[in-house]
Order: sequence, then structure tokens, then C-alpha cells
Amino acid sequence: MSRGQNTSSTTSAANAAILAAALVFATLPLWADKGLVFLAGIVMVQIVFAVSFNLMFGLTGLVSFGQAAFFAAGAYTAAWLGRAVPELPFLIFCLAGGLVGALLALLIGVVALRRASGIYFAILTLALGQLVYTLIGKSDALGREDGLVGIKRPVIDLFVGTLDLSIGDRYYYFLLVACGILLGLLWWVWHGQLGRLLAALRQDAERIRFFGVNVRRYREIAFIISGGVTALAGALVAPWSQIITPAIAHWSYSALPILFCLLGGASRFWGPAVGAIVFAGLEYATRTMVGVSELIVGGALLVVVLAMPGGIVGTLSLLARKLTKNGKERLNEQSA
Amino acid sequence: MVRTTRRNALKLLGVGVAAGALGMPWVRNAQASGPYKIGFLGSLSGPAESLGAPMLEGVKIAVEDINAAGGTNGRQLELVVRDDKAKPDVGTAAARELVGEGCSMLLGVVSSAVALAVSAVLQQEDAVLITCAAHSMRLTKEDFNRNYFRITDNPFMRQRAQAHVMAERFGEVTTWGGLIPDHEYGRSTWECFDNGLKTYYPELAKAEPTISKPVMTTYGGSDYRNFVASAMRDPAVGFFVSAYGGDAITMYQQALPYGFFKKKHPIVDAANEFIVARAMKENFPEMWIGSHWYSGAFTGNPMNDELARKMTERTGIKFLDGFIGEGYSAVRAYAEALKTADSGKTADVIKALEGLTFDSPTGKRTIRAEDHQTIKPVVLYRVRGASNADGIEVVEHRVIDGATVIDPATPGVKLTF
Repeated sequence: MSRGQNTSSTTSAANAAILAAALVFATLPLWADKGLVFLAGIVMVQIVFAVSFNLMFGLTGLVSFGQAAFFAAGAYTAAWLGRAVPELPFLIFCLAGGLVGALLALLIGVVALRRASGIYFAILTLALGQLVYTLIGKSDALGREDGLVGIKRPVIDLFVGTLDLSIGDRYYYFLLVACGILLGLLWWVWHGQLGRLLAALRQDAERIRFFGVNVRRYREIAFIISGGVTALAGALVAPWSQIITPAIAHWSYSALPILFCLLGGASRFWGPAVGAIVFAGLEYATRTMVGVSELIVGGALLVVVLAMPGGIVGTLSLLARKLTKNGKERLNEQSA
Repeated sequence: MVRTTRRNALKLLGVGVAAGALGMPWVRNAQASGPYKIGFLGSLSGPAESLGAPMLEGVKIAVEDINAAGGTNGRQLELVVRDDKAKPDVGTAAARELVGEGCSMLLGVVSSAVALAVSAVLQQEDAVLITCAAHSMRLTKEDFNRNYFRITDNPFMRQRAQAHVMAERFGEVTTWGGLIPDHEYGRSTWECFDNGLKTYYPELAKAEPTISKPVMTTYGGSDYRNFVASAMRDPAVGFFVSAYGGDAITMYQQALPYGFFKKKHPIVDAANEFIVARAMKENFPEMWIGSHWYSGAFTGNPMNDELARKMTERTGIKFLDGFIGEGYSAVRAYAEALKTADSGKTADVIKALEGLTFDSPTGKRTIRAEDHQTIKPVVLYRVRGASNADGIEVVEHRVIDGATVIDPATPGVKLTF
């Protein structure tokens, strides 16, 4: 078996896994209870949240501890517009949410990326994220600490008719499609020219600077894309959960995508997605173990992170390579 | 090696459908016969755990009592429990999950923010919720919906009753301040107490009260010293506090070294029952506490006495929290409603609950048909630390007829003073 065939078989297995996951998400409302369907919707949004975060973390090599601020900016913008100007199309609310997130990323990026990198960048983004959290909690228009409750699911005008997404599982399928499109966009960025340049920046920013590349500018671009897509994910979640509270802007919410990346593997595009699914599965499985649930989830995560430095996807990939190599050696021995 | 082919995709789809057919535990199901399923949704972890856990005990005792007596309509009650962690998003997810498991009759909920969030999705999920402690006035006013019921009193009843007692007993204390958590419940309680002071001081104490702007505190915090220091600077003598659960324990303990309780008197606590008193024991300062249910106030009521006996047997605790009585009462209300709504369908249950009069540990209660607010007695007691085996004592208690202090039923309309 040639090296090309090895790669091909690994890719084929990965594609099959992605297809299987997509099928599970797509068929979930047919066989699962409402609670699980609701959770799956949240997980889909969190996958977009984590993958967009990983554009900064895994690809560009910068840790933002304030990512939840973008998520909250998108969610609150869409929900607030939905109340203030309900006659506007829902897609405008989503786009506005994404735009506000991107603008916020631009502003934070201008401050945080000018001189800071590494831990200083992380602390600066954490501080600015907490500022957003505090502002939301003090804002009467945004419901202060109680948040915005009773957010309606939209009716979309399709020109030839309307589609009421509040009926049945329609909004779930809308989320599925929207998250799929956003993940497609992130895939394109990750695997395209920009993605390769960002990966090079992570590996050796100084060398890239010598090539005449404006390093800060490209980091800002990555930050804006990451912030914008995260905000779009936030805008999508508001009508799904039908409530948003300042908790989604809190630093502990910013820790979620970091956790997903470490769990699933930050070096792979789908790593954070796997992390988000595994984390949700752990939480769901232990939800009735009141008082010990957090201990079990935390302990399990600790074991995975310590035992699998490359995350679940990295480790599985390593195992697959070893198995293929062993199989090839056995085949050679038999042939001999 | 697995190839990505249409055949493999169909196989995977088949596995999913087969899982549904095999009836796995997480698979969608419906409740047509068998036991009536009741979903408990409450704070079983986090700062409000000390409020949610006793509520669940009351629920369990009621379910056991009803099942031991043959159930309702010959059908047993089955309890499914979920923790809302006092977080609105977790609460709505848990409520949806409970409904998905066939529990369209929900009860519990400590936090007003959770109650408001869950209440907003009840009609969409075709479920009904009876809250046992959530006090926000919005629930029966501007955010009212027909699928929501409150089994206990509300801030209009309780905080105005507290203000009434203060005007009656402490007419000379005319300056008042507050330590209020900055969320819906906190603001709701303060508005009602403030209004009560303005109403009853001129009437009973023949004096106009001077009311300071309250100190707004955080929820779930660990350091309340800055808030206590602000309250110490306030010239107000009497203080109203509506922080609750773990927050109240932390705040009261941090307030002790400041001499807060020596400088400020009387203290009115909105709803902490015996939770903080049991934690601080002999160090607990004297205060007037609002309660959902106090067994000592209803001695002679067989349901009250039996509930108190069972709960003390289980826990060894003498001073029982009112949340127990409310959890117990909510199950009793459902059981009584199911006698006429034997289908267990949400629309039938709502209809049966509206205007329902039923027995509870505080005596007969009636759920007002218009706004689903229950008419029940308001209970207050004066508690302080003591050098006895329990470390605390109830000096006196007051029971006020709920019908005399209840707000007018105005569903859909914001409460204004």
C-alpha cells in the first residue's frame, strides 16, 4: 500500500465520520426527544463557535480569552433588533449580529494586537470581554442580569411565500443548514491561501515578516473573521434558546471553545467539533448525577487532555497511522 | 476501512431509525397510560441549592403519600428530577427535556429568572408549570401566560405584609435601606417593600418614611464586603435584604465584623427561611424573615403536622424550610386537578387548576382563575441565635390572611404603584 493510499483511506474514514455525524444531526428530530433535539441545536452552534475560535487558536496561534464577547454581541444584537424592528427580515438581524461581532473584533484587535501577543493578548482579550459582560449586565435595554426572555422564532419571507420557523422542528433544520454554511466558509478559509498563511504565521511569524508580509494585519483579519463568525453563531442561537443572559458573555463561556479545542484537537479543522460533541455527551450522560456531575466531567476532561496531547482527533489519527503501518508490515512479511 | 458511499450512508440512517424503534431511553415517547409523570425542575446545585433541595424533599414526600394512598384516579405519580442550576438557559433546556420524556406537568423552580424563561416556552412545548418559590411579579402580571401557575405568595403579598408589621412594631424607625440582588426577583421585592413602607407608615406609625436608594448586589458572588460597607455608610436604620441562599449566608457572615447588625435594626429578610440561621447558629442576628411555610404556625393541621414529622425524621432538622411545604403543596394541587383532568392533557390540567381549592400544610388554598396566583397565608417569623441545642430560636411568628393582602388580578398588565 502506498503512502498516497494511506492518506486516501484516512481521509475516507474521516469523511465517513463527518457524514455519519451529519446524518445523526439531520435525523435527530425523527427519533430523539425534545430535550435531546434542543441540546443538539445548541451543540451545532457551539461547533461553529469553537471552529471559528480555532481559526485564531489552532491555526494562527493566538489565544483569545474574550471570544464569548463576540458570541454575546451577535446574540444580543439579533435579539434586540428582533424586538425593536420586528418588521425587518430575520436574515438582516443575523447579518447585523455578525457585523457587530466583526466590528467589535476589529476594535479589540486594534488594541490587543498592536503590541500584545501570547499571554498578554489573552489577558487583554479577557479584560475587554469582561467589559462587554459588565456593560450587558448593566444595560436596561438588554435586560440587565435577567437577559432577554421570550425571543420569538422568526418567520422567513421566501418571496413566493413565508416559512414559519416557530413550527415544529423547522428552526432546528434552519440551524443545521446555517451552521453547515458557516462551517463551509470556515473550511474554505482554513484550507485556502489565507489559512496557509495564518498557519505559517503561527509557525514562525518572524520569518514571514522577512518575506514582507504585514503580520499584524493578517492576524487582525483572522481575528475579525473569527469574531464575525462567532457573532453569527450567537445570532442564530438566540431564537433557538429563546432566552439570552449575560452568562454568554462571561469569561467562563469563553473557556468553552478552548476546552473543545483541547479535547478534540486544535491542530485539525474538525477537532473542536469533536470536542464540542464529546463534551455535550459527557454533560448529558451525567446530568442526573446532581453534585458529582461537574466532578465527573472535569475528571474525564483532565484524563483526555493529559493522556491525549493532540486531542481525540489527533490521537485517533495517530492510531490509524500506526494500524495502517502495522498492517502494511504484516502484509510484507506474508508476501516474503 | 469505511468508504463514503450512498449505501453506507443509508446504513447509518437505518441505525438511527432502528434506535428509535428499539425504544432507547432517550427516544421520544408519550404518556398515554400508566403513571402520571411529574417533572421537578429546581436548583439542586450552586448558590440556590439550599432552597431547591428542601423543595424536592417536600415533592418526594407528597408523591410517596399520594402513591401510598392508591395514587390519583388509580394511577401512581412518577417523579422525574432535573437540576436547573438557577440558570435560565439550563432551566429551559431541562424543561424541554422533561417534556420530551413525557412530563408535561412541571413544578418547582426557585429562581425568578428561570421561571420567566421557562414560562416563555410553556405554550410552545404544551406544558404547564407550577412554581413553588419564584417570586417575580412579572409572572402573574405583564408576562402572564395560561400555562403558568404560582402555588405560593408573591412579593406584593409578602413584602407589603413585612412592611405592615414594621410600621406596626417599629414606628419610630422611619429610615429604611436595602441590600438587593440586581435581578428581577430582587427588584420586585424591593419595589413592593418600598411601596408597603410608604403605604403603612403614614397609616399606622403616623410618620413619613425616608427610604434610601438600595445597594444593588451581585448574584452568586463571593465577596459582599463592598456592598456591606456601602450599606454601613447609608444613614438608614432599618434594612431590608433579599439576597438569598448561599449569597445570603456569605453576605450576613461578612457583615458581622462590620458591626452591621448592631448599627442596623430591625433587619427584614425577604425569604431565607432558616437557611442562614442554621448556618450561623448562635451568631445569627435577630431578624424578621418571610416564609413560605412554618410548621410551628400551623400546628393542629394534620397535613402540616404529618409533613413536619416526616421531614424531621428524614433530616433530623427541627426548623424546617418553607420550600418543603411549597413542593408538597404543588404536588397536592396537581393530584387534586387530575381528579377532574384525568387525561393528564395540558389543556385539561390548566382548566382544572384554574380556581382550584385544595388542602395544603397551611390550610385551604385557592388558585385564582384570572392570573393563576394562589391565595394562601403570608407567614413571618422573628428568629435569632440562641444558646440551645439548635443554636437558634423562633421568638414569635405572624400569619396574615392572604386574601387581605393579595394584589388585584391583572394578568398581562405591569404592576404599578
